Amino acid sequence: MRELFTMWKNTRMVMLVALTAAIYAAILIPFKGFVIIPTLTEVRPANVIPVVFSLFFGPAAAWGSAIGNTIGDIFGGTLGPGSFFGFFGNFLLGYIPYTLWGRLGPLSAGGEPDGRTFRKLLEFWIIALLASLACGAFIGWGLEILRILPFTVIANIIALNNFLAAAILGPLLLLALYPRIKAWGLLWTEVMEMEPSPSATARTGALVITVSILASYIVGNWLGFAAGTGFAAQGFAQAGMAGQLSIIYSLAILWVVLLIGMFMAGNRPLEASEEA
Amino acid sequence: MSLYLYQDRNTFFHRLDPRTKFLGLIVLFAGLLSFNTWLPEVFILGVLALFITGAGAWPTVARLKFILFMLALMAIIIWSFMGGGTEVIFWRFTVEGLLFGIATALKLINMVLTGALFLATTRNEEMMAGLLKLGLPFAAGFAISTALRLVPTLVGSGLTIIEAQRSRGLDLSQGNFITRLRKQIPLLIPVVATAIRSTHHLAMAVEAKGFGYSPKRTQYLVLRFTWRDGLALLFFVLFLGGVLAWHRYFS
Repeated sequence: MRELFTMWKNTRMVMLVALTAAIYAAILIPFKGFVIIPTLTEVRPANVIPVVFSLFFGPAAAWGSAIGNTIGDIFGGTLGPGSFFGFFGNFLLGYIPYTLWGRLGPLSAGGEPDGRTFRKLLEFWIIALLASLACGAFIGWGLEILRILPFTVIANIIALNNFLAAAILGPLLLLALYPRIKAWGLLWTEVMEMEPSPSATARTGALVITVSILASYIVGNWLGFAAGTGFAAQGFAQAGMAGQLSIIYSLAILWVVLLIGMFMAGNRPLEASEEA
Repeated sequence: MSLYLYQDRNTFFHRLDPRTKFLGLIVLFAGLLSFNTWLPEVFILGVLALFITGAGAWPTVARLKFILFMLALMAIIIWSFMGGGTEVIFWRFTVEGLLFGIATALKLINMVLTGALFLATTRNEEMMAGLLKLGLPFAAGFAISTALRLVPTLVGSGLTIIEAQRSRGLDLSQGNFITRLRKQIPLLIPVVATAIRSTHHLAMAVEAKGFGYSPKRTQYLVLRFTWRDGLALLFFVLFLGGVLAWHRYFS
């Protein structure tokens, strides 16, 4: 997690934040009119960018996705209270993939995220799903706090919207861009001279992140359905039911667990691996 | 056509400190979210219309008309259809759902108009200066302002690539929505690749100009609170008082 802060000292990483944000926003804006939930979400093919760029640019993609989503709201005219939670939800969408790549145990294909084999694509889809669930659950939790819409509506729609874009367009972008970005020396591991730590603590951290994401999504939906809110569009009319304290508190605990996992799933300088 | 929503004028709203405008955004959003009926939303819509006129921000609102129309339409359709109620108009559309849909549409329109008023009266540089004054680290502020400037550049290079592909026979106007979306993919790769390839050059350019040289930086744009900000703060207090009074006596 330290790389999220140390990257700001590296000029190339700062520029990659700006470029990721600009590319994400530039693709988000033309689709602002294709509304799914007014002012909250729309058809978003651009959601492929945070997931794929995360595997290229690591922490720069996490910050860039968060900033890009906010810029999309600014240029698209949909800047609102939801933008605050959108910032952190999109941050997770860009943070999860590079943190979990290669750390999914038997589900990991091993090697670079170039999408060249079916196992690598399978790992990409699993990671895209986890990142989409994290983003959806966080924004759903935020809008539950703001009492705008129930968790069961917003979390499911955002998660599905994110996953579809990443799952369909992601492999194409990976195959087309990964070799070029590697040749230009712009992979985050090269720019920051770091690599994911293979330690047991880091692997446990990845497991903690995975479990907390799945738990937040399942618990949020379970508590929502138990309280009588409808699934996705069925719950549109239940804005008055948003703000359930059980969802707010239980997910707050799970976000703390996620944060602990983020601290544990660290990276190490390249010299460390060379010495080892 | 410029992507920016800013209107270059010299009005009361333009001369407010950006920090005051950030506070105004939070206060107005909080007020708007607290209502679920149409009457206070109509009142706020009236106030916002006055402010937009005072700020000369109608051209910005006009540019958002498609988004505003879609938001209102979708809100009314979704909530009329899903809202439930006893007085059925036809099938699942009810009078109660329709009224709730109209109230929600008004709330969403007010939120977009509040954001539009902010963006029409605040330059990117002022936004960044305000955020830096509020404690945002310089590198993060630099990344945000660079991204804000790059969006129109990227859109421009995207249009150039589209023209180049059209001259080779690509027809983006034919086919259904999915077909047209699929035709965008060959355009996406060169736009993205062109932008990323410039990273090294951009990094060298900003380093040559002293980026990251000193942690303490001076700013060209100096922000100061004036009597206008005091007046705006008074309005925010009165607005919050009005919101609380509404909930106490009329809700």
